[in-house]
Amino acid sequence: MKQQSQYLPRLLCLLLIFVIGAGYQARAQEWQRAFDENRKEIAEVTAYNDRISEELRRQTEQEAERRAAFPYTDGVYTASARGFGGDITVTVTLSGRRITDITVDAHPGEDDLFYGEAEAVIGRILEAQSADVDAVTGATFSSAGIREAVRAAMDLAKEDV
Amino acid sequence: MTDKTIRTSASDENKPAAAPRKWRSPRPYAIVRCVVQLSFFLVAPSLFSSAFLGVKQLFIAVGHGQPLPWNSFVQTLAALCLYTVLFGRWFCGYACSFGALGDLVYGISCRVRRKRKKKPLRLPEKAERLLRPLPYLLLLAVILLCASGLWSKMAGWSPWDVFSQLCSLRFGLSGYVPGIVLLALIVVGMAFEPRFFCRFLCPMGAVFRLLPILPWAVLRRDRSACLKGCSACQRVCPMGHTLGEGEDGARCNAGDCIRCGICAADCPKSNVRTGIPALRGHEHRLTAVKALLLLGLAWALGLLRIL
Repeated sequence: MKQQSQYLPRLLCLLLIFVIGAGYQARAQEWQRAFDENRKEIAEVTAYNDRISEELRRQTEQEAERRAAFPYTDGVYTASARGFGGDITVTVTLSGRRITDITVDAHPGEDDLFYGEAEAVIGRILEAQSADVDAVTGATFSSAGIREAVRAAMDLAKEDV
Repeated sequence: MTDKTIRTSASDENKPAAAPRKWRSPRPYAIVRCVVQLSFFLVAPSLFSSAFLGVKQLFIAVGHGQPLPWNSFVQTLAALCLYTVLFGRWFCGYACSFGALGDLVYGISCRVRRKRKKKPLRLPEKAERLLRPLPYLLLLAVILLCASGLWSKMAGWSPWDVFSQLCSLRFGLSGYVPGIVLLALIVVGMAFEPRFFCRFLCPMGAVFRLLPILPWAVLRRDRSACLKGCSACQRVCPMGHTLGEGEDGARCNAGDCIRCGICAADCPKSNVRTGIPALRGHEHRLTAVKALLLLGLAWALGLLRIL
């Protein structure tokens, strides 16, 4: 093929190809960056979701543990049991899966002296967070009465485990 | 690997200077060329396929919308293109393993024909004209296949891959049956026309042909010094190329010339020259420089095979 000198047109074409190539490269690198960022975001969101699920699971486990450890529903419960000379009525307040308050409403059959001593069992119950405590020596029947009344009240609150 | 092939043309009888050529022992330049070609075949046979793989990878990246890679294949492509812009298609003429294979096959074909007192084979003009746009079409086809992501399905069809694996002495070619068949057909075609693959089937050649080869590297002749009715350079050119004319080597398609130097060796008036007058008569030194430069490039790219 005989043609005029083709150097200049070819050089211009080559430069044009370079310009197009550079333009494409810039665009493609943008796409790549956007793609990588997208992947990073997805990874972050997935990690966040995983953390949330893990937290939820842990909380549920803890709740189950606490429930197993103290299977009594929060609330205010009243019950009676026999003391020395009559029934002792107590009101027990359960809150946050703890025994928070024990109030003796009536103890008609107890002598004040013995009752005064017996009240110490309330402290023991609150400390042990359970009705399985020893009665107070010297006021056995009165303290046992208080204790059993508390136990009866807590039985009202018992949950099925 | 050089033969004086004469294109049969109707006006042969009217050309007084075209005496029938007898077989002569190869001249020095032909020996040099043979040595260089053999060296590159042994030491750096995968230059061609690496560069072409660079082309494919660029367009596969475009097909995926990914940034263009700058790996060793693309670097090889860039290096060979730069080399071609500076020196013309010297790589094709001296260093390409496919071209060397073509020269070998055609040389054998010519010798066989000569033994039977027959003229060397050449394709008819019509066939040549028909096949000339084929390299560009093949290049376009490969580019489209790569950009559309279909190239991986066609991998078994590539005769270039088969050839480069054979050059690396890897013979586990299962799954490449279509490629092997095509390569065999190409080798058969190489016996019918010098540089059959390079002229009609090489997509890398299509890439090189489109490059802006620097004017100084374009071979040209001074028409005023030519013998009347000679056209020997045209007839012996394996690529069917017509030399440029004038001071800037104009009026020729510089992309066709593979710098084999047969025209320069055969010109009865030593009229063929490059664009740098100081180089006249010293082309062999330039050949040595070019060979070392290309070897250096191959080494830097990691394509040099230590025997």
